[in-house]
Amino acid sequence: MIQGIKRLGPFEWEVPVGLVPGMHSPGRFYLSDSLLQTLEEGAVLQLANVATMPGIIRYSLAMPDIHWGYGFPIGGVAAFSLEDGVISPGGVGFDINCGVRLLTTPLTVDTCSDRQGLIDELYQAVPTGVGARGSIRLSRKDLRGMMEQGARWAVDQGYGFMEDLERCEDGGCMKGAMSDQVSDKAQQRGMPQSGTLGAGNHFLEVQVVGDIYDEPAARTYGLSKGQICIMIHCGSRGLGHQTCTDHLKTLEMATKKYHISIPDRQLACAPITSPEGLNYYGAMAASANYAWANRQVIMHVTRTVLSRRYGIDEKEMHLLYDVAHNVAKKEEHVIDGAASWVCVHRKGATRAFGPGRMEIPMIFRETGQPVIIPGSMGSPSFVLKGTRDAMEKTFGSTCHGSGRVMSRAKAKKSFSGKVIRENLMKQGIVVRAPHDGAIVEEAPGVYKSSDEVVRVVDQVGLSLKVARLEPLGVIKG
Amino acid sequence: MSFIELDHTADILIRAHAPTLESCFAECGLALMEVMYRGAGSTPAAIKRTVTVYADDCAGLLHDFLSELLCLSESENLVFSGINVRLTGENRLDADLSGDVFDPGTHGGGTEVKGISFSGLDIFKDEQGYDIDILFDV
Repeated sequence: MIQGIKRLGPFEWEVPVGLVPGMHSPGRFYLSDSLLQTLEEGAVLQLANVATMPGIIRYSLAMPDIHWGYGFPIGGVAAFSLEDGVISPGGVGFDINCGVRLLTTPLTVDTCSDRQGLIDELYQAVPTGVGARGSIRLSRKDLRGMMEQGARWAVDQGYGFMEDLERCEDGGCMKGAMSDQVSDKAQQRGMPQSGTLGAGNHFLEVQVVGDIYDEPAARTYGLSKGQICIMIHCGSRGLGHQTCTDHLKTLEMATKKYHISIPDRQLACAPITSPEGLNYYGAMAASANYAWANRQVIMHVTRTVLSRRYGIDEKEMHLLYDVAHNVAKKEEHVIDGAASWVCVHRKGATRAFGPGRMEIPMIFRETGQPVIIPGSMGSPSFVLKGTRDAMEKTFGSTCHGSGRVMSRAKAKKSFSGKVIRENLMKQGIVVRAPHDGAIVEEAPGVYKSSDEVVRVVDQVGLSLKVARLEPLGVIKG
Repeated sequence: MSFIELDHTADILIRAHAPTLESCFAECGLALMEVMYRGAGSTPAAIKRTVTVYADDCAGLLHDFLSELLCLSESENLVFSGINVRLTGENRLDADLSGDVFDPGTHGGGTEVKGISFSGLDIFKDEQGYDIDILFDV
């Protein structure tokens, strides 16, 4: 076991103040005994580093998919006071508003015929992989629309329906976006990539609803056993990546200007209310909006393909919900018994607001926010519901996925793309990717078990299981 | 190629080696291209570009140079196989780049790099020259 960490309960662990110099608060993370075997010392140090940042409230937190990243650990969550706290791109990541959405359909596993044909057609319709260019041509004005209006821009252009918007976190548009804080370079990177999925762990997956754990919640969410759904996982593409790079530079200067001491340059930060902090927030919000517009466009293309192939109306395919898992947001939380506005950073963590919160669409408000947790290639994904426990323990946050356990370098030495493809085919899972390397790097076995990660958040009460989704076909970026 | 991929759970950690700091920076750039575009090194030198960056220190220069290289490659759809770096003073780096337009048939085997991280960036010198560890977010 890693030196210095302390067990607080069956799944709860503490990183005491003092593990690294200058910690203002302890760290807390949630792991089962089996997941503890995968915990890396680097991730614990990164969790402790976050606790050194000014204005951190309560704890530096990490979800059960914690792993070693850069700046914050992946799975990291931290809230900062708006008065004396900071904002940091290291707590959001390069892929601003990397997120996931789930489209439900009226198809069932029996009526969704020729799945190889479906995957092939979706693969042609949604550009994927390195160097892929989007099928939509944008003007600068269009790009500004994406950054300022998010998913709403896409709906106004004919990509989807108004009802989609209320089923996105923040209505698919983060307030406070400042497109003028997104550099020309970032816009040049983002312009040709609109409507593209990207590469790495991004994917589009055809899934079937398997086990239902919570019938009333599943009914409210429009899920039933045997139903076909489509999961879309991608982010803000080069526009968001460049925005992070650009603002990291200005925030590094700000870190010195405001005499903030940080143990890792990737944690460069500035007071939330400083000009540099406000500019980063505005640029990050603009990038988050671009990501929502992008997922909306990809979902529309998916609806078009399904409608044509299976003769179903596009309006019969409802967006269940869209969640961001790399973002910093101003939210109201109860701190020491009083409601306060704080800036919550989630880096590889999902908002999981409990019943009653005004941010949740009316139709889901009594149940709690839908939480969508993608599994790795070939493994199940989950729909969960947000809880009041999460509001108290983790600023309304839960895990975002499985969490890697094996490097890409090791994966390439350990697996063969052809063998993985054949094994998945035997399980009834069709895979399309630009090349075998993309399959090997995301092979089953390089991630923690999604079942175990989700079991922990369910047991701790950070979100509760509603349904399990089994993969049938996947397009890897 | 004087670079290797080290183990890193989430991202891609590269160790580059070269006799001089400038050539080691260039190796990091070639490693970035190879990660993004498999077989980048054999790309013909049909198109040329130059890059200039300013930073407060050596790590900042490397970080900003690689960030520029990434941005240029992605926004202009270019794959670079020739990189010549000159450190002109403590705060300035100039680089001459040569390569060609991305071709999915020959360059399609790589992975997307989102950004260059300061976490894990390490520059060290020994009697054989310079070694640099650099982390690419993928």
